[in-house]
Amino acid sequence: MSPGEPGARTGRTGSTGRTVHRIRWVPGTDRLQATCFCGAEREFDDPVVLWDWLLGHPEGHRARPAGAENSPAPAAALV
Amino acid sequence: MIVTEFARDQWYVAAYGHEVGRRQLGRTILNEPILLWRTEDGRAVAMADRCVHRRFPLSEAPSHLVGDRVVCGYHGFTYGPDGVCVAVPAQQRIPRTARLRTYPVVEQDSFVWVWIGDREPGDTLPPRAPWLVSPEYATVCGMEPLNARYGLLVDNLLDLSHETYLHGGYIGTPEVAETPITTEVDEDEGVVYVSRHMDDAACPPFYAESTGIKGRITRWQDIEYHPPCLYLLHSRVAPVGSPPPAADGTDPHAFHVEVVYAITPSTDGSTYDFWAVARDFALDDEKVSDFLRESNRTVVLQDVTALNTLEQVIAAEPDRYQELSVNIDTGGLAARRLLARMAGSASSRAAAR
Repeated sequence: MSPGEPGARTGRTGSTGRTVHRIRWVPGTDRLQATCFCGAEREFDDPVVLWDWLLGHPEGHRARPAGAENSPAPAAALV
Repeated sequence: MIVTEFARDQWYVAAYGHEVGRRQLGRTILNEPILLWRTEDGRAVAMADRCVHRRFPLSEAPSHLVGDRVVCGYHGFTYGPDGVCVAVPAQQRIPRTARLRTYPVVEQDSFVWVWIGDREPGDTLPPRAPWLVSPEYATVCGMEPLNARYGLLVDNLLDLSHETYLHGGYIGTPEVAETPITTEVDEDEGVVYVSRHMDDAACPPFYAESTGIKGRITRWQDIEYHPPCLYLLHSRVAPVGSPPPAADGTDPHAFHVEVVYAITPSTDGSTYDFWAVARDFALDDEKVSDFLRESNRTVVLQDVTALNTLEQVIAAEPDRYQELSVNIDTGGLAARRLLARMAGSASSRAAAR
């Protein structure tokens, strides 16, 4: 992430935890791209369905190949 | 659904430090009436705001302070800063149960934080807003009571696209609602981040008047919400074409405003809306301070008016009223879920709807 991109740091401290969910609005579309802490990604056009999928981990989540993203996969699922 | 349960065992802002002094201040937090005052050596204390005898509020005249004691204005029951009753009218024996509940207090970043819960806070400290007391920033602040449940203010602040419509002419421009957001939820730390970076936007009066920028701006809004109480909006504005922040974190070509809200539930249907605006420019310019104080208060009151109306509408509807969430609500849904989890709700997942 470089300065000027959405999410680039200003005064904010930034995520430090290992279990981080990220949702990016795909530029030029009405789509939302969700990235689970396990590395699984999926696009949605409804934030409610998106959160159902994120919080449903590990159901329907298939992590990308190791090294594709620096999101560590914690041992336990979220409540 | 909007979260209505309260998260206990948490720190909440009860007041600004300057509000707490040698006169009693009464605040209701999570439905608990709390008395705030300062001892003669300057220590802020918080205790139940009801006399154990006949429940008269100790914050109400003719209750008063005598040294480091609070005297009930009804029958004279007298309490020390530890909540223990030290005098009862007309008798020597003081009942063992004559004791007020006290609350852990932390003064930090101009706020008086009070721990509301059933266990002790231990090593848990409130989140920080250091700009509010930094000599490198000038701060204006206030508090507006809101006759609405706290979840409505959380929704409001997590989705700033409403600035375009509710706060046009102050902080809203078309670009705010038009620009997509990114959302990040740190489940371990319990923090929601929502960012909106506008590359080329009109400069609203709030920033044009205070910074002197004449043309269009790059405007960044980086929200950091530490549920349940503290909300930070890191705002960066700079003339279009200005260099971005340097790799070492310095950013001399931009103006920075740290907008801080403390969202403190008072009762089921009312909330304390603490707000503060800290800037890193025009530090000694009182006109800029006056302008930002009045502008931000106006903006907050616009929210108060809208949310008071919304509360009346929602309160009159069936419990399972229907809502529709769209992309701009992604961060708000995340906040609802974290709040529901903190409140011990059986289904925090349902709160993300």
